[in-house]
Amino acid sequence: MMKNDLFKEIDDMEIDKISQDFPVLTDEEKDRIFSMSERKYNLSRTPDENEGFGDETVVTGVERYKRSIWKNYASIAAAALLMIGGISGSIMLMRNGEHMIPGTDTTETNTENGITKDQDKTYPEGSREAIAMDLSDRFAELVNKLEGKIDYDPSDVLEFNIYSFKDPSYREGLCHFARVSDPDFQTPDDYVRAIREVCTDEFYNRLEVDGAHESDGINYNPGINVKPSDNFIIDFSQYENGSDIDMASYNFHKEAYIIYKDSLYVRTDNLPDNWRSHDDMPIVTESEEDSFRAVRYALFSPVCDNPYSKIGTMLTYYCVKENGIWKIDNIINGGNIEKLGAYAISFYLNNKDTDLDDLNINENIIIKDVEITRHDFNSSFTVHSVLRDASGDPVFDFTADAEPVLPDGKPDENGHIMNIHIDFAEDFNFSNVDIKEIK
Amino acid sequence: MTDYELRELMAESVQKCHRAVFDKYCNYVYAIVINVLRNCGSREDIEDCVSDIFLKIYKRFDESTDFSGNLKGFIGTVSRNTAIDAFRRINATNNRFVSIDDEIMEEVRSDERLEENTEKRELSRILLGKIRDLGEPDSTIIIQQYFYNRTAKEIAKSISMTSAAVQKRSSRAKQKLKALLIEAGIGKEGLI
Repeated sequence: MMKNDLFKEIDDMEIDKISQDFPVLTDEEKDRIFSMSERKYNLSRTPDENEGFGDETVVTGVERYKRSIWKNYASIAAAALLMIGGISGSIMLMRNGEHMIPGTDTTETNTENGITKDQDKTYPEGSREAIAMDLSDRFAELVNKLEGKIDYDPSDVLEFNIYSFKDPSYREGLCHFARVSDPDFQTPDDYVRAIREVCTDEFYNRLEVDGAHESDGINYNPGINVKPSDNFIIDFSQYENGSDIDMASYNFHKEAYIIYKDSLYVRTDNLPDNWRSHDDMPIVTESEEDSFRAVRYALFSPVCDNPYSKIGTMLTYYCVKENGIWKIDNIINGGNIEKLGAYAISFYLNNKDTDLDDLNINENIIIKDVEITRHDFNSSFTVHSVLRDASGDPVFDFTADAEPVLPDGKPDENGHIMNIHIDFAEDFNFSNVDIKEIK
Repeated sequence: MTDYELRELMAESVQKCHRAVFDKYCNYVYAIVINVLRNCGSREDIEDCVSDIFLKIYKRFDESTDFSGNLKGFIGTVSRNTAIDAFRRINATNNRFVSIDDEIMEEVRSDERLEENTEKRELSRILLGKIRDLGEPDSTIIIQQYFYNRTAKEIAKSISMTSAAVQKRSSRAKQKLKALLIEAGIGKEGLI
């Protein structure tokens, strides 16, 4: 059970009830926080700072995000993966050999099971590995494109001030959109075409029409729960450039793209500095004449839901030949390995006999602290993290080899344990546990 | 607390008014904040955010704002918005690029999407109900551990048990809760 996700969907009313029925603040904490707020209040009352506490300093609200239908429709698998979220993705435990972490060098690494990995390696044209790399790279590129990674004309920019006219405290604020200059992406249809070139019809249609989270309680298959709609994309042509727009006048989704007078514009606010893709090479785990599976770790958002991740989120690409062309027929999300590592450490602190019990260690591991230094496709790994006390100060340095033990942990004939929800890991086998005090 | 009561307290003593409001709503504000910052903020970040919220509330008192009898609603809104700002700030500080589609953000205007929230509300109700079904002290242990991110030692202190006992009870309670949730037919995805 992943503690930090247990209440992720909690309703506001229930939060209120929890606060009433399970108050947690001690008198000491109350006094400390109250003193802090009074100190801030007194500071704020100096002449200089006493001005301007009007609506503009009230924190801005954020419109509930809903990915626009056209983007879901267009992106298919991208949106499918978006829906997974958190650590709740299923894991696919591969028993296929050690996977060394790419370091700064790119020299070849031989593993004990003979799998060779080389960051700079190129595969023979037509090989399964080369096909997997091409398809997965294109897939990543399309997901990034959907998020706004696209060429645009910086001299052709629209600006709108978007907020709720009824309640201006809910506002998106000034939004800038630049005209897309990528010749291959001038309409949403161009995107649909590109994604269909990567995905099989069956995969495309299944996600488009039936997308869903399929679950029998343990097995969990990600999907999307959107259906096609005519409401593909919002057209802002009716608004003058520079004008105010009422959020209530349309279904605002934090658009990455809008249409304005028949042209596509991309939002340029808050684009990430670096766009990530994959940082490893595909490993083909099963191969038939017209199908194969390959594994890669994704670092691109939102598929990789951990921005601190260095290894990424394990994706298994199921590829088949459709009309003589290799395409992606399914993608299984194996979960983010750094999150799995954090979960393992937390599990260790919660369940293993350890002398750390009485040392006020916070067993809620901060994901950005976690580093995976070796892994075997989620089925075993070496995890390192600092352990912090309740105040957040680092107190111990933790390193261990961990192997999840699953309820039905027997691998199939291919050595795979499929779709096991990592929350159902009954235990972890730990070895080489090394805990050093940080001085 | 009504607007009238608030004004009465303000007239008597500003600090007394602040303290009264703080005592009445601090657990509510803290719960809202931790629900947003649970996975990214330290304990210090959370307390800092809670104090920021009360600062904003106090300053509104100075402006003689009419809360139309809904002070709690106002506090809830300020709390959520401030926590989200803190969420963004913390992630920016950590060089994390936060997609606006983050699940946390999805919560903000959830009251405007009643249809979509019906199911969520029902799931929340079931979840909390099942946690209550665990009985005490297990309910408190689970809530403190999973909702408030408290350590075993902190929980132990609050319910007068040993840390080891808390951990054992927690482990059993988790298994029981898992079974209860599956029995309830709601699976785990979306909740856990």
